[in-house]
Amino acid sequence: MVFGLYPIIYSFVLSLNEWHSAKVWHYVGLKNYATLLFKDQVFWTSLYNVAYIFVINVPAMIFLAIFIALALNNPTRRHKDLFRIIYLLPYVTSVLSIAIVFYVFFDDQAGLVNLLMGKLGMPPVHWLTSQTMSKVSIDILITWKWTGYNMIIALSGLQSIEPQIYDAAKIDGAGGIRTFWRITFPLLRPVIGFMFITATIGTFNLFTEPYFLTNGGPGYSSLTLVLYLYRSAFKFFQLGYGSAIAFLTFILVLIPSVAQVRIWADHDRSYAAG
Amino acid sequence: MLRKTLGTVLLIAGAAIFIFPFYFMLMGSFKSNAEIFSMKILNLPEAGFDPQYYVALFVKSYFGRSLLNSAIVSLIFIALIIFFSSLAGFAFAKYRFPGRNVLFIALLATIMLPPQVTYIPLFILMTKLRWVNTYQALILPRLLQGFGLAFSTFLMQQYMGYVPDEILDSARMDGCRDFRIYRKIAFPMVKSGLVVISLIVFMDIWNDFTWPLIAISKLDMYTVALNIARLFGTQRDVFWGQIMAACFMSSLPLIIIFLVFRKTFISGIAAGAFK
Repeated sequence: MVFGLYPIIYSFVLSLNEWHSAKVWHYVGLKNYATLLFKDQVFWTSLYNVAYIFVINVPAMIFLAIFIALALNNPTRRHKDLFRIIYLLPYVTSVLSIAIVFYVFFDDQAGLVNLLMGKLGMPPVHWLTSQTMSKVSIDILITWKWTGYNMIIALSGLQSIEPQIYDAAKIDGAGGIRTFWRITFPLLRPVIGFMFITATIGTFNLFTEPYFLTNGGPGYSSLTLVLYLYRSAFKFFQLGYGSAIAFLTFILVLIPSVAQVRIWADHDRSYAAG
Repeated sequence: MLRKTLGTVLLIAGAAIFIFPFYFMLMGSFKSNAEIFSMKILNLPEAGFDPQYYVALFVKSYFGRSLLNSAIVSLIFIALIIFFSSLAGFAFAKYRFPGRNVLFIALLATIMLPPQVTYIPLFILMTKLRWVNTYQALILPRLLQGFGLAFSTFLMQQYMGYVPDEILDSARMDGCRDFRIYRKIAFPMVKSGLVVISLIVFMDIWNDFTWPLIAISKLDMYTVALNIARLFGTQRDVFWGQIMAACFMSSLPLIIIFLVFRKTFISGIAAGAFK
């Protein structure tokens, strides 16, 4: 298990070096970090892109997940299991297959989305070839893929709320929206926290989706941190520089990761018991 | 009443959006490029269900080999995870040994490790061991990444904690050796946990794209994911049908396993066990 810590330490050691050829490493101190933080526009762009994708995706996804969970949680609703299975399909299938299908949908001229929009009299959108929309397209893909997963978590949160609380609210004459904000939402807070943390880590790790959908483009407009790391280390063989990117990403996701593991520890205890 | 009807309409619309890409993938695997890039999205393939693209995948594109590679890697990986995680989980849950707490904290720390931190060190290690383009390279480093040994041991430790000490003690009094207690008593009692772990691990390794992309460069060692990426890079705009067929085949095992184990999946996600 101690081997698990070895990559972090080794990454940090590598990040202090420059790699020249098969066997030659050259110690450069913090130079890689200085370059990254103060000279490298591309690094900051990829950090900005990740933040951009995050800011759109996370609220949209959590909102949709809770919305669908609320609709499904109605006790008189039929075919609940069928809906649950359908909504979970995107989560279980392979990311790259879906990314490729979305690539086809988002084609400029002949993609389904633009064809449909043309029928409705709307101008075509450059989904994959404009600086802004390339990020939005990635958002649509990951929201589509992860909403079902988050919905199941939201649903389990909703089901753990005692029905008596709602009865009491009804007697007090609270309307639907008021009940949601006063009762449901506060009681769902831990669940939302879990979704938020998982989504944060997921966004920082984005690789396959942009790799297929936009390959980071146009320009660097949808380059993510891991895609940049991959390019630096394995396309241009700047292994030291790549390690510095990896180590900085590690620092960035450290806090959400610690939170996630703590939640897991609590959750699993109850899961294994039940 | 109105709200419920509205909810139903939205739920069905949502379900259609969620299921449509799969329908598109399956139909697309029988369609020409012109049909794929057209408005006739719901139509069945004009040429009928001619499996020409599937045949081409196996005959020309080494897809059979890639499926075999992915299957070998997944099965060996799952077997290793089941064996080591249940054994280590058993030790962590039921034994007091020196350094136990330190080791357990190290284990938790490993779970937090984002996979990208491991890529470069492990790639250098693979190069030094001359393991690039081998099954070892696809399997062993994965034990240290993502949903590898750390996560599964952690989960197993939780399950093993619920095996009653009394049963283990009485077996010990009967002169049962430790490994035999693990194999005959503890292991069978955590089967449901092992199913959960196998599902997580299978999804994780079957879908993995980044690590194989780094560790593999020879076509005959390609996994399904790598082969699809190659087709996407070279056959794009030539035979979309072939790419759709490959995508469908790579999704199919996951969909089947999900449908078979749907209850375990759903309760596992609800408990936060799955990522």
